[in-house]
Amino acid sequence: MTTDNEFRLVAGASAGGHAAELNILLEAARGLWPTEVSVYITTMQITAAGFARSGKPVYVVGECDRRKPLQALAVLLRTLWLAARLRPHAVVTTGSMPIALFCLWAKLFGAKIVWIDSVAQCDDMSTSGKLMRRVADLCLVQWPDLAARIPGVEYAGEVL
Amino acid sequence: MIFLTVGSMFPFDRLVQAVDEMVAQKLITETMVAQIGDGKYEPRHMTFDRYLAKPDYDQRLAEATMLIAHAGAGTIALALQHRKPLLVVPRLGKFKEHVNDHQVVTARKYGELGHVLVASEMSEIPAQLAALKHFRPRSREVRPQELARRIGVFLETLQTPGN
Repeated sequence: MTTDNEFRLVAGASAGGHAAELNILLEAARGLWPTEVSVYITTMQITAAGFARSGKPVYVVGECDRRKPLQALAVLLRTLWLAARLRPHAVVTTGSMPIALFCLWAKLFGAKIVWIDSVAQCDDMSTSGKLMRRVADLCLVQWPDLAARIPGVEYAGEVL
Repeated sequence: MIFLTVGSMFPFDRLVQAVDEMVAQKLITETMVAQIGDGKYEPRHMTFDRYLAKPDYDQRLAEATMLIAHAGAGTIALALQHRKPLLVVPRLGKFKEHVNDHQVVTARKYGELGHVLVASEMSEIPAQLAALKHFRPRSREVRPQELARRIGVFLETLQTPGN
């Protein structure tokens, strides 16, 4: 756990491509951000090992897919518990839905949310991205034409 | 050597089986090496690994003259980094190969930009592989620092507690 006067920045990404995108972003962010990531959240143990190399705590909230409502409920409860416990000041995430659920709770607890929709979303935003467009304090897409078309989202660059 | 890779998240039996059968039918004559994840179909006509540690994976990429893969943005980026001609085959939601059909869009987009060749159907693979021999992928310019800088500017605006 972090101390009370520390800025609590949570970085989150689902296993797979989302985690790869977050890793590239964090690598590029070295020296550019006012604060370090204090906690990582992800969806599977295999990805947790990679984030754990930072020496920071990593929490695994599980996967949820829209075809499995019980799993989604479990993730919803786990992310609530985690958001209540971590009380982040800010969350930066490259998706996907399980991390979006965490962001919803974190926002209720006062966190600012930075959502970066995956570079794989080139014609439209992801389902979770469309939801987060209304929730996030900074919502980024990685294709300029998408940002031009969709209100409330910005393009600033791409991770890959 | 052609390296077939489907990533570690989901299996892609339809692609692995199609390529394996093409090797058997001599529609593919180059040496094939595959990485198949936890698919049910076990190739009989090409050597394969289920998962590869990062150094081994990178070595396969470096050694390959051409790549066949699912249309994952991460895999496409890796191929471009290694300057390898890549044929992508999008995963489809209806076969439970992914949660939806977003890889169809990814494949089309990167195909239009000249970064990859695309086979939407398995039957298109032999002809697209022939084209891949002469395909020079357009390199891709990315700006992760700009993206990170924008987020940094936002984070700067946040009040730290106690201030």
